Amino acid sequence: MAEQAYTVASDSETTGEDKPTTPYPELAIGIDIGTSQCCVAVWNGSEVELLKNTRNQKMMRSYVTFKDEIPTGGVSAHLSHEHEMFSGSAIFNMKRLIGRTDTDPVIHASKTLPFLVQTLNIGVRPFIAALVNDVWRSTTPEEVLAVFLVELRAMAEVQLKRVIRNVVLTIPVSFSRFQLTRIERACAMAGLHVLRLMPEPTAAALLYAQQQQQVVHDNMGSGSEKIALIFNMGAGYCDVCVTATAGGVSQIKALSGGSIGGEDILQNVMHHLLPNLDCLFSSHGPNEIKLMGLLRIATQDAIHELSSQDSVRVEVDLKNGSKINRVLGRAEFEEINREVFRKCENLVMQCINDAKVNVEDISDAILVGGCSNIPKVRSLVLGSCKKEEPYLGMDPLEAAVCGAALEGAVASGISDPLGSLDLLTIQAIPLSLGICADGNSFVPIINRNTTMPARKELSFTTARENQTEALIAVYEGEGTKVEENHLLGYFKVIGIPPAPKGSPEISVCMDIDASNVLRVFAGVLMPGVRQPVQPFLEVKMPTVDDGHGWCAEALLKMYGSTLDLCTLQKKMLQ
Amino acid sequence: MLGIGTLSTGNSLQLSPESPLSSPSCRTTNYQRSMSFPSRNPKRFTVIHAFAETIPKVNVLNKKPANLYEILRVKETASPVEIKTAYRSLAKRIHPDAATSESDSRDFMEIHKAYTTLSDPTARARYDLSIGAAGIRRFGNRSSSSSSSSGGFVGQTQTRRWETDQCW
Repeated sequence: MAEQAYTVASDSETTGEDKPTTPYPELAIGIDIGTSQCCVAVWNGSEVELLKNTRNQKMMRSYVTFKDEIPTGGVSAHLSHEHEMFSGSAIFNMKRLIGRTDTDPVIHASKTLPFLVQTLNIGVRPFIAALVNDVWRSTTPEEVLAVFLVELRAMAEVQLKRVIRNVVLTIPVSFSRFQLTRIERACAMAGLHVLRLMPEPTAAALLYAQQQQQVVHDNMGSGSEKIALIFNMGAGYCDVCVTATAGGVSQIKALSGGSIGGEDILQNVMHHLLPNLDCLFSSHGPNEIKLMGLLRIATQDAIHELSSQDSVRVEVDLKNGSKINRVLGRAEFEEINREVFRKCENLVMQCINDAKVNVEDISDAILVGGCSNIPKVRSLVLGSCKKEEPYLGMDPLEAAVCGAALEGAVASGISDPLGSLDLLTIQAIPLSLGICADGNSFVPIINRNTTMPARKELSFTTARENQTEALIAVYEGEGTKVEENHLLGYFKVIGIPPAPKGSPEISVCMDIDASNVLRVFAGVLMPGVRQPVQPFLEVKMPTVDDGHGWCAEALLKMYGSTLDLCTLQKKMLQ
Repeated sequence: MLGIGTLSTGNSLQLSPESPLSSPSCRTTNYQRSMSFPSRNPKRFTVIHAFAETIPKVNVLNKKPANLYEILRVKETASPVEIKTAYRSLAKRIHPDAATSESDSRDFMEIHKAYTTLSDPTARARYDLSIGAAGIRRFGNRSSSSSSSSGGFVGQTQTRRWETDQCW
């Protein structure tokens, strides 16, 4: 998935500039870009260190303000007041917007954000714009992310006194491979090369593996296997992983995730406080945006306070005649967000089931991310794991970035004389990969939670008499029908010799390497012939660009079922 | 046959790199073959794989001439804990992300496959049965069971499997 054109350029530059350090591999830094906050960490030779900005902050708000010609990000910029972030000129929540089409419910929920998110509901990119001198100026989530990454990079370069090229970024579990390419695009725009994209809970799992390793060293014990469940809920996403850890190796047993987070909780409470919110703010004028900002800040503060107290008074003067002045109780808050909490619980249960572990065998329940402070979230995770207390060994807001920095050091080939980097993450793929066959069925070739790197092969055959071409449409997801999954790309296998249906064998192989690059191989074999009929095709996925829903429709319209495939296994079992 | 219930669990890891089938030349050839999907003869590979869903255990055996225990470098009497420890220590050396690794992902996938079988008590028992039997009998059993479930496809694969196995 890495953008090779950019990679080559940066590699040559690095070797040119880093002459004195060439004997040592370049140490990749870890970046955790959260939906709302962001931080950077690096292995300093003996431990992980979080970098601070010029205002001595470790956590920086993830946003970019567009003013006049030069956009500025939340790394260095100083807001005179938090309200400035809600004036229309600041874009944030990039991680919720990136790589989504305008039919996506997450995009629709983002319309209450205090900047412009416009949809046409046809499956293309949403229109996103910031208010600059009373003009809506268009931008893209990739561009906003790139501006922000450039600032992070500059900050790290100043502090580390070297050029930064390689990064390990944490990502939500539920990101599709298409979304991952958007993240890589943003990094490439910022001159960064992605060494690894690490699902957030697996980053925390690596930190846990290191901590367990240290405990073993201190006790000189045997270091038996420990199973931990990591629950990570931030502003945009909720992710869960189950890891089996021993000897510094974190083996990811299962992953689950969804696009639910603090932002959904915030939206729910805002709608609860002001039921006609969408109607009031539909025109998206500068005044409405300011009021929306006021409501957002007040609601956010209230939610934070509800984590430590049973009720909170919310007062907002919406100036247009309406005023909010009421008490919000914790029970009421939990009722409004019942659906969010139910989804979180489902993700935890699904992950435990997929990992095939007994709840009793879970040694530690680790809660990280901003939402892990919400009492209801804590109780539901601890309840699912049958634990009284969560694991207390790590900072909930810094765990992911620390894990990313560790992975950056390990993947850069750095070793530590004391063995603190004697670590390894054995990753699993979070979403199944397969192709379209047997009509519009999704036939998985690599199932979710398969250990990476992986290579699997499956045989298909023609669906029609004398069929000479077959379409390989690659999808990602868990739906049984292809429409429920993400289309990653497609290509045609040609030159199938005319034969009765079901006799040519079309072999499809999927390969995922350690850096999560997916390659799909396909070719035709005829019974009794050893050599493939044509050279095999090798296609790096994803190949689709924007509007991927349209491609599938266009293919169907153009070819109907003439290029269909059937699975070979099913035929043989009959 | 080699029931895991009879095995001790407290033993430390014992590597057995001296075993004849894991000699370097043998292993290298094996990896090269499975590494080059587009260029090698895919017929043999794919036909064998077509059985993956129906009789996976026999399949692993036929595809991997090296014994799963030899791949993990443990004795056939290794305890589950020893197998786990061996897998992890090998992973640290062989996994493409590992600092000292000089191998590509195929080696790790092979180790992971062996671990998947040997760490599951049922799969391991079945595997032990299959390697405990004499070579001739084991192939006779397998081909008769698979030819009853599928058509003339088996005829070719059977002979080819013989060729494959005779190499080892």
